[in-house]
Amino acid sequence: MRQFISGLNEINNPDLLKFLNIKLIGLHTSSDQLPESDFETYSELILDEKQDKLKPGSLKQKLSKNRLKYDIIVVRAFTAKIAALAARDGRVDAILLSDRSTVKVFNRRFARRLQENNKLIYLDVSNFIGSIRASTIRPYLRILQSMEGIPLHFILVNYTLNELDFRPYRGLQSIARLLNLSPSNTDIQPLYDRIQLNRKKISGKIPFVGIEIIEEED
Amino acid sequence: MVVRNERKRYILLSFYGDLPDLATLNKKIRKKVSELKGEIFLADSGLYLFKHKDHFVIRCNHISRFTVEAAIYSVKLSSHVKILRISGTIKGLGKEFESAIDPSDSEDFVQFEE
Repeated sequence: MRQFISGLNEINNPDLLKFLNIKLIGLHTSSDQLPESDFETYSELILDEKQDKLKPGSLKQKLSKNRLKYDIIVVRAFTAKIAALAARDGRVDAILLSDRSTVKVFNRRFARRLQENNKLIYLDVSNFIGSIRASTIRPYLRILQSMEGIPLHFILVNYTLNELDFRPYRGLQSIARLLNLSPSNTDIQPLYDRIQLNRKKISGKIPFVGIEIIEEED
Repeated sequence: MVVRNERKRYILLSFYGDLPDLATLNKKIRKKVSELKGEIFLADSGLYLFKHKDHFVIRCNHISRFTVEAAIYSVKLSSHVKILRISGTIKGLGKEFESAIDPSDSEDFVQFEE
């Protein structure tokens, strides 16, 4: 099983990452600025509705501007409008859920829309490391209970600035078990497939949906 | 006739950085299990921690194994921790290493149970 970590700006401590058996790393840089290293790296962009002050129009602009520069684009939405747009738009790969997400927006209907559009769900479990409060866990439980029964792909992430809070992906999966998410729901193979697909699309090997150029005749 | 309804699981840990103190680690993991599932679950889990050479081993029952695993990864320490292997027997843990792990032979064996 590939171990994976997301949310780094650069690879500071490769020995630690080797100890944690991490092979795939998501970096917050564009695809042309990915460093060469022993690890497999991919470029990731997170569009946060509150930090980036997103509105539907500005979100569409940012997506069209950045789609060809990043392998994976994730949207962190708080309102229903932005969440619905992100779920529908083909340029968005994943939606980020955190303790500030509410069940008013992220409910069963939204889960069906995500499933129809084949989106990934990034679940931030950094709040479970250290002291845990019931008030922090409750939003996760309510959202996941409302989405129960719908087959979705969850990717566990640990957005933390402290290196001591880095955990192997298996550790994040064991934490997700507390939320009734099994390891089969949280496998990272769908993420890996999505990265490969997006790279093919960006390089022009998939010009249209359903068509892939394997060999070019000279 | 005594009937055992639970099976034991031995969890082998590995650390990156300074090795933590046995008592501190034990206290933190027990506190985390209690925080996650409560004191009664902790009492029922049969949790205890012992040390062999450079490795720490946690014993628990099969029912509490996943919770103990989550507790290990969610506790904050001054170094990184990783689960190397989980086995139903202590001997099963030692297959990765040259010497089999047998706590009764070790001078470092400390049975720590509250």
